[in-house]
Formats: sequence, C-alpha cells, structure tokens
Amino acid sequence: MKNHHYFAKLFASILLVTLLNGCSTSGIEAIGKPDDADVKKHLLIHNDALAKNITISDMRSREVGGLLEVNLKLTNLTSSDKAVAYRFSWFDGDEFEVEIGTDAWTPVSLHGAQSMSVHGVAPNGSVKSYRLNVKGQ
Amino acid sequence: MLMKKYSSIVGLTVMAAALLVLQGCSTKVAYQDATEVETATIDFGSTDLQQIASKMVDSVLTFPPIVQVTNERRPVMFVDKIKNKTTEHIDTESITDTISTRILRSGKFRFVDMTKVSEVREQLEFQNESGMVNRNSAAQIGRQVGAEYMMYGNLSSIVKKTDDVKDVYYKFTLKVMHLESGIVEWSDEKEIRKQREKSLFGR
Repeated sequence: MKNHHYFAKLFASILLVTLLNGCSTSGIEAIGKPDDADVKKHLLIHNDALAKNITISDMRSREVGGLLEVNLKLTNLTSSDKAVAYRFSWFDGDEFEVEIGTDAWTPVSLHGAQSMSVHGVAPNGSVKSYRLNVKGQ
Repeated sequence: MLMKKYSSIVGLTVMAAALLVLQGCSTKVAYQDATEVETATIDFGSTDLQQIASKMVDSVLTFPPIVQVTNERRPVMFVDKIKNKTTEHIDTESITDTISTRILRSGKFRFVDMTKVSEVREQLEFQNESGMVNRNSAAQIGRQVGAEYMMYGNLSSIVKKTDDVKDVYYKFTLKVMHLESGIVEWSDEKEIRKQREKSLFGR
C-alpha cells in the first residue's frame, strides 16, 4: 500500500518535470530607444525564474559611423555557474524590425556573481532602437 | 475502496510513463530555428560560424580608421580564401560569404566577386563580340572597378582529448589590407572553446 503511494508520487513528479521542461520560454528582454526621451530603457520579464538568476543593466548606446552601437551588462545574481544565450533584434524609426533572423543566439557561461559585457552593432544605418533577448540554455 | 483508488493512480501514471517512453521510439522531422544555439556535436557548427561572423562584422564596422574611410565613400573590397588550418573539413567560404553579405548590407563597403571572373568575361565577350547585342546597351569591357582592399584570414584549432573529455579551441583571424600600400588596416580575432564530457552512460 505504502509502496503504491510512493511510486504514484514518483511517476507524477517525473511527468510534471517533463511537462514543465517543454514549457520553458525566452526569459528577459531589454529594450533600448536612444532617441526616445520618455521611455528610454526597460526590461520585460517573461520568465521569473530566470530573472531571479540573471539581470541586464548598464544599457549604453552611441552612434559609430552612422551605426547604432550598444553595450549592456549581464550579471549572474546567483553563486553558481549559469549558461544563457542572448540575441539582438534591431528596429528602424517606424519600429519595423530590420534584417530579421540575421542575429543568432550567442551562448555565454557566467560564473557565480560574474558580470559580462554584451556588445552589438546595428546591421545598418536605419536602426534607431534595439531589443536584447536573454534566455536560459 | 482506498486500495482501488491507488491502483488506478498507479495504472494511470504507468500508462503515462509508457506513452512517454514510446514517444521516444517514433521518428519525426521538425523545422528548427537556424539561429538557435546548436550543440549536436563538438565539431565546428552553425553557432560557431554565426558567432565568428557577428564578431568580425561588428569589429570592422566600428574600427575608427575604417569608420573614417567609410564615412565618405563605399570602398571596394575583394575576399580572398580563408585558410583552414584545423584538422576538420570546414567550409570557410561559407564563413566569408556570411561576413561579406553582412558588410555589404551595412552599406559601408562594396565587393567584387573573384569567383565569377570567367563568367563575367564570357558574358562581356558575348555582348561585345557576338554581334547579337545592340552596341548601345552592351556593357563595355575594361570598365570594371578595381578593389581597394582585400579581406583574408585563417582558422586554426587546438584539440585536446582524454578518455572522458574532449576540448576544442578555435581561433579565427581576419585581416583587411589596403592593396596599393600593402598596409593591414584592420585585424581581429575570435576565439571559441568547446568541451565535451562523456556522460556516465554515454559512449
């Protein structure tokens, strides 16, 4: 009787873990609009669990040779190593995404409490804002 | 009554587990995101190519002397072969294709394609010498623009292996040379390190 109860719990846990694995989604987005005076920068969190481990800060941008260059800081808030991936998306003045699918997910490993600079350059001169996506690997 | 309830729970979970196991036995094909991190094997893969291209393009387009030159005009460049010094078979032309495409689409440089010289010559001869093309619309021979810069580089690797661990280090070096003066105007490197560890039950 006790054995049955134990196995039922075990199988239910396995099932739950398997299902939850399939539900993991992209985690955090940082949006930067250098020209916008009101809503300059903000974070969108789609995955609370990841947001507790990783954060994006120090969003800076400048224009180099007519191209938007951005620099952000990724920080591991935990004491253990974390493997994440990031990707930039670029938008023109009308908020249209440009060069869709050009930027690939870049894997990075962050040691406990480590901060790392993430750097990106817009694909062309029409880009006026960007979005950085960070997700767990 | 209670016993019956537990039996049904056990039965259901066993069925669910069996379904999961059986799912693993079926073969299926699915489209995947081409920009996703790929770690199927430790060999050179799409993520490595994309990381290299991204780093090189960002670097060349923001290097101050190159920015100065490209602010005023769009210089012409040609891409030489990337030497593959690794022990793997790697299509290095694919790497330079991605890099040159992105640089071209940035609007900062223009390119001449040295792989198409014979086809271009054939077409120009047809237009000018076959007598079949109107002379007013024929592209003239000897009017092509010469390249001002050359892009070249190499890809090397260091592989270390023990019974349980394989460690691969790739180094991609790219340079841009001013053809007339022979001066290397820009150079950068991208390093990638990957490690594969054998799992407890793995092969």
